[in-house]
Amino acid sequence: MVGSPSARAVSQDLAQLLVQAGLMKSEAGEAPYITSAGFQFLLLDTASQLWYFTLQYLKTAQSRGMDLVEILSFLFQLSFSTLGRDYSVEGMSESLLTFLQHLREFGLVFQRKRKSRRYYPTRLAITLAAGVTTSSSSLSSSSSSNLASTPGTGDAGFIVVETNYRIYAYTNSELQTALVALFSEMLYRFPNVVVAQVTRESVQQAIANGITAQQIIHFLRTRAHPVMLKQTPVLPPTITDQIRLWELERDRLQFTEGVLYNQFLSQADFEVLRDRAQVGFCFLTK
Amino acid sequence: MVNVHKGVLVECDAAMKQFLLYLDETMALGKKFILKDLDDTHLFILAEVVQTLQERVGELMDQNSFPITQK
Repeated sequence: MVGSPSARAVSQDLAQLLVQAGLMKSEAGEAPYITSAGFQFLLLDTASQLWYFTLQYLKTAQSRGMDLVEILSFLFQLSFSTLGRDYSVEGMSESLLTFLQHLREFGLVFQRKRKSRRYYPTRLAITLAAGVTTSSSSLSSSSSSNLASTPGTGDAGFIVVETNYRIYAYTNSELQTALVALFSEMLYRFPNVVVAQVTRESVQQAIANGITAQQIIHFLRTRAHPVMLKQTPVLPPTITDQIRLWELERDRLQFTEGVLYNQFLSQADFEVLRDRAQVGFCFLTK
Repeated sequence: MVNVHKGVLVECDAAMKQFLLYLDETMALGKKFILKDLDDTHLFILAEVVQTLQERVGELMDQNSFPITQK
């Protein structure tokens, strides 16, 4: 669904799902626009994105009048099926067939035509089951993560981050380029490389959109080029620290709503009030 | 009688607090907004100036930063 070169309009159901998942918001009468949760979603790795989407879908399935148990069992069946083998739609109920069409739009299942009797699970569906384990292990071990992340996405790590704040993304995909452009300034575009620079303005722009520094760093780490993976730590510490610092710059002040009590007549009153307050507040003994 | 004021408690580091005191003295926001100076890191201010205060702090940070990279 995402990443395909042709821009196909998404179905009504899907658009509604996006709105319900909180990834997009639609004002009355206007086209939907992306929310900060949506930005965060974009920077997750494929397996997390898939699971997030599936969970949202399952939550809304009940309200659609589809049987949750059936759908879940079919989903588990799908993730354990063999890649490349086809399966028949024999004996599938009405709601399961609708579910199958939705899966086709997500890209989890391949069907020649809408009416065809057979379907093939795609690589993406197989990683559904494997997805959870790889995303957690990729943070700990750097060498095996690249192997594990290739099956679903098709591109291995393709981003090189340099200590002069430059990012080189070896990719042709519009989607990946747009994702990098979320938090950096594009400098040059070549047929197979995109050069961008991480600047204070670009990172703070991303933070104003609702992306956290941790997500940017996670995004870069999960898509790090194999050359980068050879060094420890994977990303240069200057860059990660600087991104975090730029985020902290915005947080120099912390506000809490409060009420000020002063000019107590007696010490006893003051002590009673102080003991009753559970939430930390600052008091002055002047 | 005990006085009660509703406002916002601000927690920050000492340097930032001095900046807020400066803004208050010069009436940069149009009025005095500090209700009470609590200690080295806490202030009690009016609730409505919170937004403008964030903007002012942002401007200060922008003034103090310089482009570290060259294109």
